[in-house]
Amino acid sequence: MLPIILGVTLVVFTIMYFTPGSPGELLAGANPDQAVIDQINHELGFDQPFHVRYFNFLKGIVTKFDFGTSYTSQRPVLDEIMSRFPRTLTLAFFSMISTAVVGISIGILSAVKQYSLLDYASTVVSMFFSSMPSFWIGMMLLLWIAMNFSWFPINGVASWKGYLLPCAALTFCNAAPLMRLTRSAMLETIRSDYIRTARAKGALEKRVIWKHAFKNALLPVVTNIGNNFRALLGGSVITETVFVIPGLGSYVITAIRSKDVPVVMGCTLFMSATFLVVILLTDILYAYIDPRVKAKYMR
Amino acid sequence: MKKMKRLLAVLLCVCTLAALAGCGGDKNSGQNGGDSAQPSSGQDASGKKDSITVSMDANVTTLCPMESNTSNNQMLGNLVLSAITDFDDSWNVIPNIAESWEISEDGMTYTYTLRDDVYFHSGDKLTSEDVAYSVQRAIDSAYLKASFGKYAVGAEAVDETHVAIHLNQAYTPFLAVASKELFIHNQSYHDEYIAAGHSEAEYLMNLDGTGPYKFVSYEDGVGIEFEAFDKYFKGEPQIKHWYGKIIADNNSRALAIESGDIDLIETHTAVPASNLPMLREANGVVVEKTDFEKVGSIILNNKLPELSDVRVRKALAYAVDYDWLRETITNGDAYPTECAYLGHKTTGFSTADSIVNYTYDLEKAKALLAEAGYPNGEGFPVIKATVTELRKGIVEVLQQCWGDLGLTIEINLCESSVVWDEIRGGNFTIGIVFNNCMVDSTMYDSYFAEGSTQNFTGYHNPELLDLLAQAAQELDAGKRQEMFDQIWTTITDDAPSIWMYYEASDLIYREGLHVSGVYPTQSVVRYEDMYWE
Amino acid sequence: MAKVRAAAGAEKGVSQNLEIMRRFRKNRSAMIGLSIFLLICLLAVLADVIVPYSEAITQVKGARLLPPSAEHLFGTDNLGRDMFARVIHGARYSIAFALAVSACSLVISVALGGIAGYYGGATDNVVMRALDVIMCIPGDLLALCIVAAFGTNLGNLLIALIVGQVPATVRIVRATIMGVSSADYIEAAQCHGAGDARIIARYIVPNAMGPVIVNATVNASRIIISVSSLSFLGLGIQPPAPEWGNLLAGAREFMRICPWLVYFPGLALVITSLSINMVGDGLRDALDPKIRD
Repeated sequence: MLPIILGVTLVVFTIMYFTPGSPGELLAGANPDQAVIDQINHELGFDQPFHVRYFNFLKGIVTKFDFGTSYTSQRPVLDEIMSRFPRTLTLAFFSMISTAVVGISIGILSAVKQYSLLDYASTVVSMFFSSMPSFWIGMMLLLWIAMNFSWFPINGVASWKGYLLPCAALTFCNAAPLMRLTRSAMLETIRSDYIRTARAKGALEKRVIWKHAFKNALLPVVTNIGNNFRALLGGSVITETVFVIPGLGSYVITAIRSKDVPVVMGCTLFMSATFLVVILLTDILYAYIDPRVKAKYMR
Repeated sequence: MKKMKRLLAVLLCVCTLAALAGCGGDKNSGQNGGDSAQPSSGQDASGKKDSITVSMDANVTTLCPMESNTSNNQMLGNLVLSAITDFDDSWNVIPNIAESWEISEDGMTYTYTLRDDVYFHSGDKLTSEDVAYSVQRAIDSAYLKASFGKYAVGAEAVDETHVAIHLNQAYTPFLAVASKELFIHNQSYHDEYIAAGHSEAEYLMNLDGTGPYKFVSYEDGVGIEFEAFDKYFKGEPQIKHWYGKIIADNNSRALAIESGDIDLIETHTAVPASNLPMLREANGVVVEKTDFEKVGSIILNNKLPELSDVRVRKALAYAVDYDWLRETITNGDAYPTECAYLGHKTTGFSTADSIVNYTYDLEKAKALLAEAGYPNGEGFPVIKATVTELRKGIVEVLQQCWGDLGLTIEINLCESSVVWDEIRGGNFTIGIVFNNCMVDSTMYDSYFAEGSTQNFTGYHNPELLDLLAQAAQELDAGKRQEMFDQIWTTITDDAPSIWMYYEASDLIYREGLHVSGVYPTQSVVRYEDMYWE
Repeated sequence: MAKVRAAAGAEKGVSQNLEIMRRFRKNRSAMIGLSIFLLICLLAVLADVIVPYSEAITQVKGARLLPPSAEHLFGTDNLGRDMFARVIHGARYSIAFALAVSACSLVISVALGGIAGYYGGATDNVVMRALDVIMCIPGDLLALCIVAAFGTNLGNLLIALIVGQVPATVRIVRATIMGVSSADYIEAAQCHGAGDARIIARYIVPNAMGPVIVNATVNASRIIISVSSLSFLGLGIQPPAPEWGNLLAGAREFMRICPWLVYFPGLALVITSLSINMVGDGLRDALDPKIRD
């Protein structure tokens, strides 16, 4: 995993290296005298060659947890990230759970009652929703629900209620693929021989579904949920803009428009690192669920 | 089954951890400690509301109006600091920290007599040393270089309650300039704070002032909190808690005030004009027109070769459909400009016939552009418009208007906190600026002076600057007006900017709030006199 | 001998494709999706004929914010521009981007994945690690960074979206190719002395195309949504281009008084994306040997 993180830092650093403008121009304050700009750039090490700057950037992160200083607010990027990140994480996490609950449950129902009305209806509805951009669903929810029922806050997350509509928007978008995956995984499992055996042995249908089919269908589903987290983190950028949530996503957009390069780098790194952690957790979860993997690691 | 239980257990642990992280994060109040700036519905003993939530449009970078150009920071600065003198509704200078003042014979020394009962939030008493120190800060400030800093050279404390400010020439509007720009800091507090190892930037967010409100805490992206200062020299404010809520999204502000999420929208934090009709009809919301005049203009980068030709600038000015602009952007709520940047109350407002007021004349524009060497826009470089999201709509109208001339506009979208840095760095062809109308015409010299932070256009006309300087010294009102007529004729004829329209700002607040007035020239509301009915 | 074998192989390929097409045609929702998609493509191509481009960008006085009517099917926006014209012309951007990005990323992915899958070993490792790195960064964020650094013109937008699509597609290409590479008939062809290039072109690519094409169609719908998301944020296609994301961004201010400004571009997005999804689903079902008719 470490080389991947290093790779991410390199990619992010390289891309942002090409951003026009320099910290000197933004920090010089009201009267940009070229000499002052050059002075600031020299102090911040901006005029060094690429590899020196990259190395210093890495060194700062590894030794001092220093992700740089924001050009606009003059505060350490890490502080700014940490004050906003919990909101994004909460949003992504609860969206992930609600997506999982909705997707998996409908998927199982569809698989169990294949070819029924419920199956067709859920397939059509899920395809419909998965074709919608998340910002449009967000705008629709705002228009129909938040503006008509004042119980829902219009924007921000001052109370827990503020998370409901954004989570709903993200769930609508992401539950559909999960539902279809669960359905096909369950169908595949249900058709397999050992299920037929279990049924032939006279096991209760409920037991068959839950104890045998579901657990075995779970593997690809868990992987998908983990991968989905990446989409949720990326989608938070849009969702936070529509619902005006002061989280990491909207902070990145503000930073991009402010040409605040250290912040953009820091946020991107942070989100990528979070995603890697989630993947790691998913892999660990795998070890618990999949007896084959478990057997490999536990004597 | 055991595996399922374990799976559930792991999921539960992760859930709890995340929830804790989420909750912990919400209570995080950033680097200033204290509780996070979330307004509680505060009520005093009699059950009347005693807190107010105001919307802000951007993050706060400094609490001192002398170190910034943005109205956001000025609004907050007026809460924490006091200026040496104040204005009344007719824009006359009235006492504030200074009770009275005397001007020397040669007009180069202003001696202020200070009140004896002014205290800082920290408890220190205000002395003339603090005023002298603040004068020096104002002189050194990069933002006041073309106004206060241009004319004042120093100050000294004559005695405990008298301070003398020296100018380098006689300058008639100095009282007004000082009233607008000189805010009083606590010298000893500043020196101790810096000596304790803090930076100047940190000091500017932790000021000790004499204003009606004390700074409590600030959370980036969320909001700022102040509380009333009980020893405010004009009496403790009736509203005890002041919350500034950052709502960066323009479309959400109208919704926020309708739902009662915020109590007041300042005149400078614009609400898109399309939202106003609905707000006027909404229950519990008052939309009040103030006599705060603002002029919207398109600044042109005169330093670019294509825009250094006055014919090109005039062509662009004649090609703008001003009626259509007013209709789409302000819903017809604004008026054509009559004298460049000036509002009717500004001293020097000129009604002379020689003033050039541009109207929509496409044929004339095309002719001028062809004359300048760009027939049908051939050869004209792409126009780069550096604007914030709020002003993007104006550029879309211009794309159509100037498209008729054969020109194309590219949009460079910026955050409001950096758009002025971009413009100062010359990274623009056009930009959109809304200026508050100033007290006196000579104060506009900061727009035209070489090297001034307000001189976005790069317009340089030494004769004009001389004329402005002469007008500043001229004591005879009639002669001054003649000079102003000449000045504004020159400026409108040269068209360094294109003046679109002027509008009187709207103040939007919840019903039941008693608003006493606004600081003229500063576009911010007075909070110390406010109360809920 | 070689001729006979070759002939047998070719015949098998053709009939398999026919079989896939037959199953696709039997899938009702896939056919509906395909017809809708082709209709939208037709509208995009013929946009200028249906409604001149000038109507989509010319601001008309006196026609601001009109609700849908016979004259303005989808109403007008704040600057008096006809929304129907804008939505139709907006289709061009979405379709063009979807096709261009899909095609480019497909070519690049097949090249990369083919090389990695066929040669294996160190080449495989290097390519996959590099792509893992890119996959770590959330897709929209990566596109935003690229656009922020290099500017918001069409070329950079194209590159940003392609970079986002390539890693996942390469994975699929590589997996399929590895699966096909180990098949017996490949070994047989190698025994017969067929060169690498011939094997790749004649056997590997045609047999691996199935899942890759399904993936490409699924991605196409996501590309359309990504483009509109970026434009919505103001960092994609710039006004006055009537791209659907731009239309929705402009509609936010007037959402309450003129909801039609939000409905129509949004529905256009949904229907286009949906039709591509239905086609992709149909293809997946048609190509899946495990599903019985």
